[in-house]
Amino acid sequence: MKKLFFFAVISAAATITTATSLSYFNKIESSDLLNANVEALAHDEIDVGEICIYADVICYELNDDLGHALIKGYK
Amino acid sequence: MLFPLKKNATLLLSILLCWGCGQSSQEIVTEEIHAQRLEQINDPFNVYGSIFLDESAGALLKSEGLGNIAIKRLDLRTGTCTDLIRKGRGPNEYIDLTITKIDPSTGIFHACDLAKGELCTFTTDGAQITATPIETRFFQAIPLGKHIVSYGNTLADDGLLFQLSDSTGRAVGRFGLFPDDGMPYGHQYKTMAYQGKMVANPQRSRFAYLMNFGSVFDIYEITDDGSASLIFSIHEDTPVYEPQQNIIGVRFEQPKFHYSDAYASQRYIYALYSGKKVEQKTNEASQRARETPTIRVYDWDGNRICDLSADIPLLSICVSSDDSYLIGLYAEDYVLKCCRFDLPERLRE
Repeated sequence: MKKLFFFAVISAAATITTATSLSYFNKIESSDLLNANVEALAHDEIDVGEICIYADVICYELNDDLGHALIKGYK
Repeated sequence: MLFPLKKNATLLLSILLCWGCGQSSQEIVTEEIHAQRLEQINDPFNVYGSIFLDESAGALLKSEGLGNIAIKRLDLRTGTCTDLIRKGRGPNEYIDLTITKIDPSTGIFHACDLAKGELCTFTTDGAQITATPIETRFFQAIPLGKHIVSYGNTLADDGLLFQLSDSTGRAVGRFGLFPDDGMPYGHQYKTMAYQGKMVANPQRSRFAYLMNFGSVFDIYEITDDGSASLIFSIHEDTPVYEPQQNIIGVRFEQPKFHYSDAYASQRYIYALYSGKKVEQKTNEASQRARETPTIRVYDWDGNRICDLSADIPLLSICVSSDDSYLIGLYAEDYVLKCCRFDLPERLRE
């Protein structure tokens, strides 16, 4: 629980990690999706909304050339 | 002669009005419940979230969002936390698992594997018994009699909340209207906005859905032939939101936690209700908004039996199957801990 104080750092890492892990179809290498999401976050294309932080929910869903992925928040 | 009649009628009306007012004020009784801190338990989980009570083993089960463990078991007597299922791609490992239901007498539990799109059943030791692939997309799913009820099909476009599948995972119907919130956005954004928690009562073939960011609480009954009927509904304080750019997601305007968590026995639904605004976009502020001492207790017809007021604000709860005690997860100086509450006589079997 104390780790949560490092939220800002961990949140991004957890989000990106989960993004890789929840690819439904496994058609792509996980590193591709990871890189794509890192890039998107870096360019402010994806704004991690508050729902991502606050509840045991799906933060958002990605549907693009790389496939379909559900990104979860904390549980 | 007219005057006494008029007087009597007025008197009668006054009595009726007073009785009516009295009834409404007496309807919700608040019972105070007192925490017995389980001192042997100290910071067992990475982060707060739903907990499930395995009465057969005297343990809690919890899905872990962070770290390399998918599901942990916490022995309530010793405070020992063991890793039940690991994350990974190897044998008996899972990319992600979210527990949705447990049989308290056997410890058999159900969990959603979103990476594979399956609803899985596990023994109390974490060995997989079944894995049912669900035909449609979903965020969460729960077994109910001969069916599986799921939420989160963003590919649908019918304005309906829930998907009904048969026991093999084949889609057999959809039901349940989203609240009429006046938001001009499509089905997939509503699906994102109205996420919450499902709890089930297999004996009565009913399930309840309680939303995180709105005062939305529905109870449905599913018959064996797959028809769904709405038993009870509250759609009072719906969220204001807008779609996010480039992704299917929403941003809330002044988000407020309503139902932080929920748990169910065969007789009651326990709704951990906050109603507090999230003041800042930090986890600390989120936790403050989420934690609450108030538990609303409903029966499975939607009658509010009473409110429970705990002497510690709680983050999540689970309840024994005979409604005799409640286990709460709370944070003290941002360290997660557990406590036990004896429930009032009126709730006990």
